[in-house]
Amino acid sequence: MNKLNADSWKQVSGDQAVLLMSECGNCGKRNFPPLLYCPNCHAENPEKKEMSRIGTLYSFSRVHIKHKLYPAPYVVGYVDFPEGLRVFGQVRANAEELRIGMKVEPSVCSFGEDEEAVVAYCFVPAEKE
Amino acid sequence: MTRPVYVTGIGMTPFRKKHDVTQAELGQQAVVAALRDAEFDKSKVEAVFSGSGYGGPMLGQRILRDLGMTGVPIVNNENACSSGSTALHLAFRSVALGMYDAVLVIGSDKLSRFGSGTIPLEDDDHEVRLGQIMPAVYAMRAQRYLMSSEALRPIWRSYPSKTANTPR
Repeated sequence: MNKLNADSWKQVSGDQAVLLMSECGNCGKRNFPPLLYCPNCHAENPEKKEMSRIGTLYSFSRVHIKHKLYPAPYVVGYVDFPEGLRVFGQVRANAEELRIGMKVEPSVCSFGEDEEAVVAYCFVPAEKE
Repeated sequence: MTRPVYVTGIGMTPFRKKHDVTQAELGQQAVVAALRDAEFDKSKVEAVFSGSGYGGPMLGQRILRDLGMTGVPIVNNENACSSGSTALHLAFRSVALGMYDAVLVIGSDKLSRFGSGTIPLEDDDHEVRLGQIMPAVYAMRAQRYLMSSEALRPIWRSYPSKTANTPR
């Protein structure tokens, strides 16, 4: 199964995922997704580190146009993490249950079937707010 | 040193679905209208700047070939929604700096070619691979703005039909 954005997350246990950021060993600049060069000082291959598991939903929207990988409707959002990073991803929840400012956590979501199947990180409401 | 630059003529085609016309023909309609508006003979045009988001290779040449306007420098540029503005910017600089006296600027796109849906984005972007589309970017920005703007709260509170789509 094709793992989307494989260098920016890993599965930890069950459906839980943890996101990976780059943190520059030279200047300390962090980025998500991990980058080839530090965007601040251009040091190569900044170190990858695990991010906090709980983030805060910055905004979200329900998409009604089908995507080649994703049937409509699907929900997308931006999530702010304590590391100072804002991360885009799909949100696996009904948009009616979401509100800006709620706590969410990365999870593992699969999309499609057979040869078309992909797996990616997504966000779900955090179990404990 | 720069000198003033003047827009001496413009031409535009109506905005509608264009299944029956090519993008080159759309451009030709606008170019001929602009030349007539400016009362310019085509031979006065010293260079052409053609901007488009999805026009494909050599759009400027495709537009100008059948108008007998080749033989001058033709620059094609892509800069998303700003493609036409970028062409105008390049044209302005070339006249302001004295390189040319008269140039033609074209901004064109034919989104009917995609049938329906949102404009295609590049898969080498990590957000696009996860389902990002431009209207969602704008929707999320608006949702966040509505949530954070105290000034707007009394307005959307007074429209019950809108509240189903407002952040909580």
